[in-house]
Amino acid sequence: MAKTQVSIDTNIYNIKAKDESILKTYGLTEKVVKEISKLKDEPSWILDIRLKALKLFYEMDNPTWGPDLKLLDIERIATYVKPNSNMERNWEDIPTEIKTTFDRLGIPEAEKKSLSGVGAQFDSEMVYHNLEEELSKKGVIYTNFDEAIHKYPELFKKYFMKAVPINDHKYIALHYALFSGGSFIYIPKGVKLDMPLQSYFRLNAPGAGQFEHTLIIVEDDASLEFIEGCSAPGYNELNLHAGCVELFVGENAYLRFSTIENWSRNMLNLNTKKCIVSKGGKIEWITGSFGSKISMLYPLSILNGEGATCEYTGISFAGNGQNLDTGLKVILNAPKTNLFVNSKSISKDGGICTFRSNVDVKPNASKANLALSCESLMLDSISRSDTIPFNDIRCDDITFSHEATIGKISDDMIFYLMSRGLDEEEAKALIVRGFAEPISKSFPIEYAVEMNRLINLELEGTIG
Amino acid sequence: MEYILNKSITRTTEHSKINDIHLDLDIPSINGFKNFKVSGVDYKEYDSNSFESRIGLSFDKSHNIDIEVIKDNNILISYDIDDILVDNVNIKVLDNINTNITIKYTSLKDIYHISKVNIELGKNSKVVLNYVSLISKNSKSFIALENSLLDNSNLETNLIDLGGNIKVNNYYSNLTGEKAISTFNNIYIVSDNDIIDMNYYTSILKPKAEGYINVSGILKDKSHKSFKGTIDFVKGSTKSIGKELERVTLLSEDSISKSMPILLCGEEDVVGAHGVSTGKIDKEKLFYMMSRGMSKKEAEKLIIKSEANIALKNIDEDLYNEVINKIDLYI
Repeated sequence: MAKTQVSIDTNIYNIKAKDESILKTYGLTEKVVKEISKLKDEPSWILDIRLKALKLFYEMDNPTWGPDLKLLDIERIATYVKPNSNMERNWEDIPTEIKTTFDRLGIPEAEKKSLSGVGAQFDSEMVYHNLEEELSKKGVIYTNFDEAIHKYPELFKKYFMKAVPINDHKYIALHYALFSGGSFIYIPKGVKLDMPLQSYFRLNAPGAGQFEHTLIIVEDDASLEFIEGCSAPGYNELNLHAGCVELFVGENAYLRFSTIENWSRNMLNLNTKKCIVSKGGKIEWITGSFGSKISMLYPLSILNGEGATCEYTGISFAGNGQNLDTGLKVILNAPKTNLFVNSKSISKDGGICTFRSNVDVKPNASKANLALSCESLMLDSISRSDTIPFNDIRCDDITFSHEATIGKISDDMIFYLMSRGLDEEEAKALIVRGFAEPISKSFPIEYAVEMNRLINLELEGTIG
Repeated sequence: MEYILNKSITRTTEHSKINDIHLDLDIPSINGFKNFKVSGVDYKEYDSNSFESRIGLSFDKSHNIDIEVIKDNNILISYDIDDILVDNVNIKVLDNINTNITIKYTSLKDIYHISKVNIELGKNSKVVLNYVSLISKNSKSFIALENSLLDNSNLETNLIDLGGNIKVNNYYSNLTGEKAISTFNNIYIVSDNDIIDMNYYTSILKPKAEGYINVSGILKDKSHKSFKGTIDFVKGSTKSIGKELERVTLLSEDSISKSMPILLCGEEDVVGAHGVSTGKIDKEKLFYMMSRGMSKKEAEKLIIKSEANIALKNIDEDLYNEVINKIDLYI
């Protein structure tokens, strides 16, 4: 795989493009939902789903656990923001203001050097999607979600909403009422991509919501690495992200789903991700959560086939004013399935990190192998770090271990590094980077660099 | 009547059905209670017109025993229950006391037992509290244990829970003193369609304190176990240690084992850890013992008894043998 270094300015995430959107709808009403559906020229069955979801959203309650979501007033959220751009396959055809934003984020440059294809979403719509021609010839589909509804209706109907049902929780109902944008990916049987695909989601408009839907199908014996990037500039009003990711991994197929999430500190990130894995298939979740005011994100893997595997490698970094409630859910529903979890979190400046997991081992999961490890690092005593795992085991013939630790930076390690010439601040920063290293090295090199920069940004002026 | 009991302070998803336990209970009316013995200490016995525990059950009548421990004597309290007992044992241990307290419950018939033991340790005191429930198999048992520990005090609580087919246990430890140490060891066995719900909480409030929760259980047949364990490092608990360990041995493919081992941390300079292991009896251990001439059944029994030893090391020989005989009956 070709590797390249992408130089990223630490302030790029906060650059605000001029809001040149051509349409904004506020709140959540039947009129708004119908307007979005009409704009997209959707078939009537999609509108029916949206209207059903709208009803469910108002019927369902906020979760009784986790961060308090009462601060969200959906009436104040711009539920659909149409950017002043069509969906293009050439960066030069995109309006300058939007293209400049993605240039600064390094997306076109990364596409040239290390990606098989790129999608870019600005507010509520995809503005760019492109895939290497050679892969198109092999039958790979990488397109925006709206286009897939019209262009691949049978494939779309076969998989859409099959992993994430409409009534899963209140905010997935919200998503299905308002979904817009996102990527649709189909990797045919036996096709293995050498380089990743990346979709980047940029929410630029103040007070707006983003509700993209990503659907990925990796057929038997196929292989894909997908990278999801998310960011937004900071505003004084709440933004909302309630996206949905549905993944299907075929027999002996492989999917690595990597996310670096750096939403602004005014964002509520209520994303839902689910993956269904067939016999011998493998899903790898690599997650870096740095941004948002509140995150509630627990990707679910359903291991339905014998020998299916889920690996989760994640890091959260919560600073002042942040409440990151993240983790994973897994259902082991077949013999010889495997789960390996390596989760790390860092809290500082009053930030709250919560690791929450939900592991269900079904009666037929004999000879399943589960190993979960969570480590938390507290950088001061005004922050919080909580670990709330839940395990439901209904099979006696398994190997299961779960370990969690909470701690501070060791004084001995600081002393050792200072005796080698580092000052205290440098020593602590080095230890934090070392703590995060097992996670960062799971990312492709250019994104590991980005993650390390995000960690450095978080550490600036806060350690010592 | 439906009761929602043993509510977890830290909530998680409702569909997990571990936050609380919902039970339909037909609790008989409470009569006076005299069938008990206390030795090794002076005590005050009285009926109270109010009873509440952290489990969530409340009554307008209970049998109370108040004890103030002023000497290092070993203390034994034993109850033999006929139909229902709602009892409340309050123990105050003065500073610098070193003692061993055993509270034992037995019954020949199937009974309701609603129990609360509250123990307060003075400074520099060291206490082993053995709570042994050997009530009959189809009884209903609701055990709430609470403690608060002052500076340098050390409490080891051993909950040996070998009776009942519905068991709801609650443990709440408040480490309010510097360098206080609280160790909670719990062993249980459930079989048939038994239900056990455990909600254990250790709150560490002061510096250099230590809190440990160790739970070891055997699940047979179609039994159902829920374990909620929490170590809570409250701000101010700097340089403290908190660890919880749950070991579950599954002897049936039909049993259900739910666990939620929680670590809450609001203090930077602490060491917190939890571990859970769930599975069948270790095959290598079995193989080793069978290669030494034991039958599989004998080997299994021996391994299970060795697991129970975490809570049995500080009880006297007669009671030890009684407990071991009860374990034999289960396995």
